[in-house]
Amino acid sequence: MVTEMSPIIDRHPINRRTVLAGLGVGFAALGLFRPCAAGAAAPGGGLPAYLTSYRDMTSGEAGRYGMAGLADDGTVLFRIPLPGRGHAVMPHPTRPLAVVFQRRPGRWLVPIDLSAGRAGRVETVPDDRRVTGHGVFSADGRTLFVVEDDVPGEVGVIAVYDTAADDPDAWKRIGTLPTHGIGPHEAVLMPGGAMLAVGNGGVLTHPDTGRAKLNLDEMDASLTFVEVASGRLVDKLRLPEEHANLGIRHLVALPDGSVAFGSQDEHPVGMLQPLMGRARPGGPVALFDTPDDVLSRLDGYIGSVAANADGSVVAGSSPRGGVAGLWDAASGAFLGSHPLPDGCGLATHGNGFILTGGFGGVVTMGRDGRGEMEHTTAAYGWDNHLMPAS
Amino acid sequence: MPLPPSLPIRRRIAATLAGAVLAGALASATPAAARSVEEDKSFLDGLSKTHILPRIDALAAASAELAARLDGFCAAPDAAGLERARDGFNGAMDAWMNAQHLRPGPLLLHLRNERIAFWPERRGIVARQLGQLLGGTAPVTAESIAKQSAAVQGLTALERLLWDTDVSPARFTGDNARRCAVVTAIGRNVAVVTDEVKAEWHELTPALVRGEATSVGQNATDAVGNLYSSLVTAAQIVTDQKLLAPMGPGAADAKPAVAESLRSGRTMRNVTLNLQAMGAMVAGENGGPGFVSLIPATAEGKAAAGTATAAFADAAKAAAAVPAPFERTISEAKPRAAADAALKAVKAARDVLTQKLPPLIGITLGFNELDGD
Repeated sequence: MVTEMSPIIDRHPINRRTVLAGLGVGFAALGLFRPCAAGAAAPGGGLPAYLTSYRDMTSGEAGRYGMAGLADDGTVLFRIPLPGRGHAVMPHPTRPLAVVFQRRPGRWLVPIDLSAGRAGRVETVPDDRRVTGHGVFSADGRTLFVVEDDVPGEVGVIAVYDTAADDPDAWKRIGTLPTHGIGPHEAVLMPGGAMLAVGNGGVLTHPDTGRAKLNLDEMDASLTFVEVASGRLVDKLRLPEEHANLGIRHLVALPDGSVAFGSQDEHPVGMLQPLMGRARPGGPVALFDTPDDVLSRLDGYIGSVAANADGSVVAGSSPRGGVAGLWDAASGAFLGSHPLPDGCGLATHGNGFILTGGFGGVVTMGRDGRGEMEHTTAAYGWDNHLMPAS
Repeated sequence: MPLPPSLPIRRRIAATLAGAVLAGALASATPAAARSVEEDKSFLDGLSKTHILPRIDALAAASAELAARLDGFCAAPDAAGLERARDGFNGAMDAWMNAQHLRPGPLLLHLRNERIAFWPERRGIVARQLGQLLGGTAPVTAESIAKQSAAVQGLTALERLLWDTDVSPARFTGDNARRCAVVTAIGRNVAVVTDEVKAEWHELTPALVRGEATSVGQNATDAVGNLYSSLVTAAQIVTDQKLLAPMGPGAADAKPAVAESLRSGRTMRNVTLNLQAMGAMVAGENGGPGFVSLIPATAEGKAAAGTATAAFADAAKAAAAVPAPFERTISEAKPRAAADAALKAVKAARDVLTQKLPPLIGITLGFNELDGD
């Protein structure tokens, strides 16, 4: 497979306008567009839009889950029902579409046409594969990488889809790359586009036993860097042995060629441990500093990570602690935190962040964590991840 | 940055499964009945005395008894000794099922849950690891077992050694004497682990009752929330792992191989005991409080308390009524009806925990804090 990729951080701003224009027309036409709160600008006006999976808190099991677009003031711009609970939503870098990955252990991914406001054909992965809930497009959008568990092989793989066709129905699964680790969760494309970074949580599960963790005593978490063109392992990094109980799961690529990660404590050993860090191929793994009271509050669990626009600040959210922390990307120094009950979805917002929560809360904060805006739509539980529309 | 063991403020809520857990110490987005810190401390005091410590003590005692019986059997393996060892195993399993819902704190630290019983297991891992252990030549002791994979450390491995097909006293003597070394070492290891759990629970209880930080929670409110979450997790384990996974969507899709304690024929006894234990934590026992005591004493509150208590009693009764052997029951359309009824009752009890009770007792279950996403 040959893909030519430009750096993912160089997405052209025209994309956002294209997407937003599509949103306005598409959702208005379909009646899916929800009238904005008084004073809020309509889509198409250049406001950032964010995509997320949700749970409809007012609905029964049927029709309960979907994906939605949010304005940065927390207004719900549109929503599209899904066949089950989604996890991450990944926008295409150039076209008005996005892909939702089913929550793990998932069987499907589904393209969303953002201009027509509808879900496309659900793509089911092979029987012996399970989607982990994450994936990423190549910088040119002609390839989609989907993170999966190879169930019988008990290893992580990245399924490669040819997404060159405009019509998602014509997309094809064309191969797989190894993650060179077990229990993968999130993968991100590194600047330059030639390499993926994968958080291999190190924990095995099996469809017969759902989400039960089957190898906690022998878990093997790693951060791997995989060459996109060949699947070759560029580097495999692990946390120091004293932190072997932490699974590396969520990542964000930084403009300097490193990747920041957030981890989760899979089996507590009775001590406070750093949960955030940064690494690059060749190492070393740097662990971020966090005050003990904040670590205690984070409760051994980072659910999502993001970087601000200039890549100088990394944020990690803990829905268990109901708080997101912010760190200086270069030094790992702790900068501040911001509370939000069940807060997990985290994305760039200007030079700060936007955070969404399971009780419908949306907050924006500056690069020091100071709150700017807060808005709650109690009818929605915003799911784990939030992505800028483009 | 290790903390002194006297201040184990790390906590962890869900263990091996998805567990809906609390939104932490923050104000929740949905209004709920407010509980006072004093009320929480008093609840923890009563619950620890009448529910938690008795069950943890019983687990340690039954494990010590199991270890003693295995030692006795292996001193001169015979049929009567094997029966006594199996009875000891059943006693320890009963005690484990009676305490399995008490997840926050000592059972969650250091993989003790998994070391007491490694279930659900990664396919074939217990057999594989046991095979290596039985085929090895290095001396086997409780200390050496404690350093092995959790798969061979506890009751799941022991069940295999005591109940596998063609197990007879002869399998423990002569050329097979190593099997005896292994079972006695595992028995002692379980006794050691459960004794640690007992010691730690007794050590932390005074601080817990004072509302101080312990491995159960950062303060009284947090500890009450974590104990409630562990009930929710336990209900999900019973529903998803113990019933749904082996039962599958229909008789033709049943997967009995993933059922718990199939060899010893305890599958539904385990479920029944789990449900009785959870019901006791909801309703209270031995004159102490259960979670329903935190419901305001309004007419609606009293009705909800009655509903919750009844839901667990019904579920336990339905589970006990499922005919053995479980593998045949779930694989044949007619007897399966009893298992389907039990599953339905268990789901109803779970829904009481996840939906009905939380707003009444001032607990908010989150959406994003599920394990490992």
